[in-house]
Amino acid sequence: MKIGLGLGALLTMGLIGCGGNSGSTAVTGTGSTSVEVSPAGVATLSFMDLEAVRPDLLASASATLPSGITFNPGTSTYSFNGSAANAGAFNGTISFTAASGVYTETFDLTTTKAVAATASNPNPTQTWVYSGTQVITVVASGSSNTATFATPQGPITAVLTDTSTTPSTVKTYTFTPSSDPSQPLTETWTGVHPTQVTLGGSYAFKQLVLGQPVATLACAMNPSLTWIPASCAGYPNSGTLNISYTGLGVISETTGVTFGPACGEVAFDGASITLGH
Amino acid sequence: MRPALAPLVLLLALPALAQGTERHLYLDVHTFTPSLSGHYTGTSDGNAFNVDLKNDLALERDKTKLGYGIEYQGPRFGVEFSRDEQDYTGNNRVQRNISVNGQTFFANQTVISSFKATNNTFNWTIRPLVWPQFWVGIDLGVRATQVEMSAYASSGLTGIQAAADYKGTLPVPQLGPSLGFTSMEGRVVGKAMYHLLAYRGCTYTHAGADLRVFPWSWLGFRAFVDDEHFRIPKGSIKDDLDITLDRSGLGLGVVARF
Repeated sequence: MKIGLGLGALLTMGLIGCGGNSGSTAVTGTGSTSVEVSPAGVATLSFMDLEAVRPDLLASASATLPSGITFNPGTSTYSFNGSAANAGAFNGTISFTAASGVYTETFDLTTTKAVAATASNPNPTQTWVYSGTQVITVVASGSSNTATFATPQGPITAVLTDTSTTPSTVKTYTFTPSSDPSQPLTETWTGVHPTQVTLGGSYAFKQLVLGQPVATLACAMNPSLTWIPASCAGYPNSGTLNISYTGLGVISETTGVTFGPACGEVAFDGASITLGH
Repeated sequence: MRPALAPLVLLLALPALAQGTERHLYLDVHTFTPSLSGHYTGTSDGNAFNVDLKNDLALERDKTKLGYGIEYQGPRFGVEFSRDEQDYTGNNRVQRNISVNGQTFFANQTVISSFKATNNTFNWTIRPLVWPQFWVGIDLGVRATQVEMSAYASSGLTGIQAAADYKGTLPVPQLGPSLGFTSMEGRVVGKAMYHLLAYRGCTYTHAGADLRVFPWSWLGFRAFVDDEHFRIPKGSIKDDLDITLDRSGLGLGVVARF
């Protein structure tokens, strides 16, 4: 019996820590095609498209514009013939009128991006159409400038038509600057050719899909988005969009979209995409 | 362990005095639905864990499958093997970033989870002290708890779907005193045990009591309580994982006696 107890003790003690481990993980939906049309993607990429001509560019006739954008001072029109934030073809115009530091912009922009084909759908696309009016008010104090945003003549609409789904998906979003009155959408910069541009505050998109409840995307910039035009003309070098999503019943989520460190790089919830590529 | 073994060895000399208790073979089926709480923190095979089963996953009992046991109980020793399984499920919006087997689930995501525990217990009871209706013994055995955990989240905000699963086994020696009795001419049989293990910073306690009533000499009913606590710090026995598990509950069953 003593020997049995001893052997038993040795055998059982030997079992400590012998348990094996196994497991697996999987992440799907991180591809750019799906991320870009997700609510977080819309709140990020559409905002980048709408801010392709920032107030500091708008206020300076000699500003160096990002690639694919040209300016006709005679008609006060910016023409687009380059890449949108989702890397699709970016065409159309932003025209404006200016009076005493108040710029009224009219958007007529379209992005078209080809997405993966299938046997039954050889040429699917995701198309965004931006239209509407935005008012930028620039206040100068010495060489320092501050711009605030408004859409007094109705919101800017961003309409997605995605033909990769059957039937095609149509979603309409409305863009409103300064979703939180305590955090107005504000850009600050210094000089005619600023070395750094900062955009802070908040904005919102509302998702309008026929037959579904309205979903709201409230976006607060903290820390503020910062452009360093010398190193990254089109997109922020740093900053975070804190996006809150409410709608479709009880669903409510938040995420942080972080820009940088590479030009055009954004990351959120384990996904990473590069704007304009 | 040496000081603890000394009295055991002394007790081992006493079975020669054993008398009384009859020999029986028991077969039983039972249900056991313990509560579950605890956490996994650290790394296992290089994969990060940081999840609390209750606060993060909100795991609750889902279903309990029938468990079974087979045992021999004699005047000098008893041997038993039992197995039971429990499923737990959770559906919770996590308030912080959590990790399961290296996969991160971000704050404010709704995580759907499941946790399955399968327990296989082998126990050998040595009875140094036996009287006609009462005995005192020492339990020596092993209980392996296999854990299968899975988590899934789909974000309506980002469209990203994440899934992770993990399977691990915690084999734990069972060492400790036990005692039992029979009364009413064998129609009521009971026993209780307390298993304690302290090893490399880990502590494990397992206490239980089992009461069996036999309206018929060969068939009866069983009710038992079981209370089990794991405290496994990082770097002790399970990779670099800090694990706590607390399980406690009541079991009911039908038992045949031969």
